[in-house]
Amino acid sequence: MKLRKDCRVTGLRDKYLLVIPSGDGERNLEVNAGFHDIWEAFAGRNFTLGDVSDHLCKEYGMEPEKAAAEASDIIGLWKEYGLTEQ
Amino acid sequence: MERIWTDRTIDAFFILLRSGLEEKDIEHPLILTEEEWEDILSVSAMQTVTGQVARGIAHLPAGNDVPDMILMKFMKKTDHIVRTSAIISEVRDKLVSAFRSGGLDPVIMKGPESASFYLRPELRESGDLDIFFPGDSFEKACDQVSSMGIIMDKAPDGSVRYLFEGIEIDQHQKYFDLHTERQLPEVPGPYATLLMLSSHILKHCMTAGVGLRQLCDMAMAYRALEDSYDKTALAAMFERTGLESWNKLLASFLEKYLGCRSHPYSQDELRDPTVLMDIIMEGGNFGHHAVGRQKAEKGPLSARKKDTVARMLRRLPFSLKYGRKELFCYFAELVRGNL
Repeated sequence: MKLRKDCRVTGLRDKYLLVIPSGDGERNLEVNAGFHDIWEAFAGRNFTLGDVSDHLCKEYGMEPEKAAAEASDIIGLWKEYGLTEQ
Repeated sequence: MERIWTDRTIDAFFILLRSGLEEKDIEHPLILTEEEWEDILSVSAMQTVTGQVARGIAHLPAGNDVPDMILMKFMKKTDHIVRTSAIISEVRDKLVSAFRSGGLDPVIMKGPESASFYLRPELRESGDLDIFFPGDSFEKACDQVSSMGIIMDKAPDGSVRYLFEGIEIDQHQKYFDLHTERQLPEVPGPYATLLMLSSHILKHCMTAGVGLRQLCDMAMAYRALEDSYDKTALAAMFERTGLESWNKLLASFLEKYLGCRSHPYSQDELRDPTVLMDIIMEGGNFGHHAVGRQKAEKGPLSARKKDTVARMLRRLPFSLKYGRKELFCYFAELVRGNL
């Protein structure tokens, strides 16, 4: 899967904004630094659940089991907000 | 236009703008009220430099409070700027490709060319595309545009305007906003770019007005092209084309307000740039924000033309001092174009 290329996370100082274009305008959501960092790691490329899990292990020192659960939650959130494409 | 901002706001605005243009950290915090921050947002939009000021905000020292709502507004605007820049880049590539397949080679000028001089090109606001075709190739290019089923409008200066993939295209047969034929530099090239940008700013100063974006373009071009031209030769070219006084004034402004020292003049050749600051602050973005202009633009074409003539007359002292010959030519062009 991939993250939608028309969705962007913009950062300024310690604030981050996710802009989600849609047919009837756009949606702006304030997100945190963690969201931004993970988004930047996967924007513009194909990835799997395993890739996200490995990233969490490597970047945040998570145990594999916890990382897999977190990765699943993150991807679930992305799908819920319509941020992914196949 | 009424001044809506304080001297403190203006000083802060230029600190942020310079920092954003150079991507340099700001040493001291800017302590401003929320209202002053709103004014900075407003001035940034009027002067079409929101992206650069946002970068300046990013370079404020740690702990410098900026209201969350202001940060959100800047982020939303810069997101829009980046998206538009991407669209314009895509359209530019398609248009150039279309012309090249027809055996023509357009020269990209103004906005997209200027953006390439910035450290963050995607943050330089552009709304349209300017392209140039020398000599006979201009008419051939017009024929090719017609063959694509696109309707063109002709401007008083001989250029044509049309929409391509939703983006406004200005197609020029003249590269320089100048009426002298005296040893003009080869196009494209660093001397040509600097002369084109400089004469374009002058033309707008004498007519509808000009905003900081164009001055930033000049500053960034001077810096980016610094190793590509000889300063003595550049100064001589400005003198040859009758624009020495104008370029000294312009250089003075760029140095005082934008920290740009990459111009070809020594300190004792610079002069007080207040008159140029007044023109810029009057409207911003080609004077579109001046109260009278906004009203005129909502009215019929005759109202806009009347407003342009009124501005030209108001700026007569400036124009006679810095662009006398060009002024008479612009008037003539305006009259010819409207007959």
